[in-house]
Amino acid sequence: MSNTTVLDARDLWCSYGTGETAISVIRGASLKVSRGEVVAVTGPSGSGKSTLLHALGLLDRPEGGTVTVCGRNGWSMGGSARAALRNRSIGFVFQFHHLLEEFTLLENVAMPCLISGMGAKEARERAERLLERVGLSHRMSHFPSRVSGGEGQRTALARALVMEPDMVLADEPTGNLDGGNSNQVQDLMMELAAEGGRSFVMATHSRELASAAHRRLRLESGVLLEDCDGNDT
Amino acid sequence: MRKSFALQLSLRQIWSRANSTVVRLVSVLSMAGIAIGVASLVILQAFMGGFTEAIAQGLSRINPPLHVFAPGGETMDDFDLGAVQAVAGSVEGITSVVGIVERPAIVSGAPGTVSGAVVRGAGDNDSVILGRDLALELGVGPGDEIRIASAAGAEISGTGRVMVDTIAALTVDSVGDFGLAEYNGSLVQVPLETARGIFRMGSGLTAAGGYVSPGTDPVRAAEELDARLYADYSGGGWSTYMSCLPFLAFHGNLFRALGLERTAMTIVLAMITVVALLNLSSALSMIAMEHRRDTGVLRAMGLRPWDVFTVSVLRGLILGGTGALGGLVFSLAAVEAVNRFFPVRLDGEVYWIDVLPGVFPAGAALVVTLATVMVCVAVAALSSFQPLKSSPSEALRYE
Repeated sequence: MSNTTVLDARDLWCSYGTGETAISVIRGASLKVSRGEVVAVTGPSGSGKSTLLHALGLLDRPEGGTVTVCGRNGWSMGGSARAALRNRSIGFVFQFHHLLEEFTLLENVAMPCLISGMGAKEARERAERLLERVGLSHRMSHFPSRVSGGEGQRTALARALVMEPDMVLADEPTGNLDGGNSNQVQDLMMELAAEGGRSFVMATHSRELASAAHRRLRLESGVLLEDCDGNDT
Repeated sequence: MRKSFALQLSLRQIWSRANSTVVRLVSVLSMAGIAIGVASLVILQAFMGGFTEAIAQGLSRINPPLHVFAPGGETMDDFDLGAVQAVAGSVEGITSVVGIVERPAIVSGAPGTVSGAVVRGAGDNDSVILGRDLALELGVGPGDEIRIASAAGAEISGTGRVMVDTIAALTVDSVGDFGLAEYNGSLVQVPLETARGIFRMGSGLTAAGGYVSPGTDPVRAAEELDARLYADYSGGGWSTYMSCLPFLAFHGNLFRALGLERTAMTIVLAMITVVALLNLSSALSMIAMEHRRDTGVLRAMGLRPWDVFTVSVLRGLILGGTGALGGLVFSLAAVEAVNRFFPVRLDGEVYWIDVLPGVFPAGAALVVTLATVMVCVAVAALSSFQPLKSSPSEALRYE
C-alpha cells in the first residue's frame, strides 16, 4: 500500500425520487482510498452500498459532492472522457457476474481492451493470461451459460482486471456464491490486490471478506462510518 | 471502440443462440417484412415499367418518333415536305424527314376473306409487308396476292355489295411482327407511291415523319422543330403553320393513365414497406430491452454513449440492410424467372402486347434499397435514445 490516493470522494449525497417522496440514501459520505488499499463497505440490505459504489465508479451522478479518480474529477468531464476514465482506471465486479451471454469467457474478458481500442491480438493475450491466473484456462471457449456461478464470478474478476485498472469496485462479489466458491473468489481478490498494488473497494455482507480488508467502513442511515469493531451486518 | 468489435457486438446481439427465441424470430420477421416491401416495390416498377416501355417501343418501332402535320388534318405535299426537311436540317439530332401516307382501307386475300386495315406508305419503305395477324386472317403469305381498296370511297349498293373506287392488287413481300397486336392485326405497309396511287393522292401526304439520332430526346427535338416551324410561319416565310409533335404524344392519355396507375400502386406498396419499418422498430426496441443490462455492463467497462449509439445503428443497418438486399436480390431473380421461365401471357387485343415483359429497374431499385436502408438506420438511431438517456447504473439495476 502506498500513500498515493487513487480515489477521493467528498461529501457525496445521493437520493432516489423527487419532492416529498425523495429518499436520501447517501448523506455526505466521504472516502479516500490509497493505492493497494483494500476497503470493505458493510451495511444492511438497502443501506445504499450499491448506490455508493455506483457513484464512486462514475456510473451514477451524485446530487452533491465530488469523486476524484487518480487526480481527475470524474463528474467535471464529458461523457466520453468519463467513459475512458472508467475504462482505464476502474474495474467493476457485480454481485451476479453479468457476463455477456453471447460471448465466450475469453471474449468477455477481452471486452474492456477492445472497448479501449486495443488490438484484438493483444486483447486476447491479456485475457488468456488473466483467465489462466484465475484458473479458467480450460474454460476459455465456453459460454457463460455453461459455467458455474463461481467460475462466472472469477471470469468477471478477470474482466475487471484486464485493463490493469487503478482500482476495482466490487459489489457483493461473493454474495451469490456458496461457501467454497466464496472463499476461492475472496482469496483470489486478495492475492490479485497484493500482486498488482491495486485498490479494491468492496460492498459486502460477508464477515470473512470484510475482515480480510485493510479497512472496514460501515454505511448506516446514509452515513459512512469507520467500523472499528468489524461488526457483521 | 474498434469498429470490428462494434459490428461483432451488434451481430451477436441479433443472431446469437444465447438470445431468446422470440428476439430471433422477431428479427427474422422484421427482415422478411423489409425484404417483401422492397421486392414488391421493385417488381412493381419492373413490370409496370416493362409494360409501358413495350407499348412505347411497339409504337415507336414502325412510327417515326416525330410527326409533322398540317393544320386541321389537311394534306401536305412534296413541296411542304421539302420545306420541313430544310428546317429540320438545322435542328440538332434530327437525321431525316420522310413523307407519310396513312389511310384506312379494305383488304382481301384468299377467296372469301376481307378485312378492314390501315395502309401506310412511308418514304423509307419499298416493299409490301403485312401484319402477322392480318396475314393469318386473310390466309396469305409472302408471294401471295392481296387486293386493297380505299375505304374512303367505298359505298354500299342497294343490293348490299360494297362498291369501291379503286382496287390495287399487290404481292406480299413479307409478313411482319410490328410489335403491337393492334398493328399486327391491321397494318399493311406499302411503298409511298403505291399508297398515293391507292388513295389517289398525287403528290399529297398525310404527314411527315422525322427520325432522330440515337440518344436524342424526341420530345426536345419535336419542341425545337415545332418552334422553328412556327417561327418560319410567323415570320412570313411560310403560309401554313405545320406543327410537330413527338409521336408518343398521340398516345399521351394512355401513358398518363399508366403513369397514374404506377404511382398509385407504388404508394400502396410503399405502405407495406412502412409497416415493415414499424415492425423493425419494435424488433430493435425489443433487442435493446433484451440487452439493456448488457449495455449497462458495457458502459461500466468504458463504452462511450457514442458507441452505444453506433451499436444500435449497426443493429438497424444489419437487419434493414440484409432485408433490403434480400428483397433486391429476390426481385431481380423474380423478374428474370418470369421473363425466362414463367412468361405472363396477355390478350393482345386488349393489352396490345402478347407477353408482359419485366425490365429490372436498376435506378429505381437502388433508390428503393438505399431509401429503405436509410430509414432503417434512422429508426435504429431513434431506438437508441432510451439506452442513451438512462444512466449505466439504471441499466444495471434492471433485471
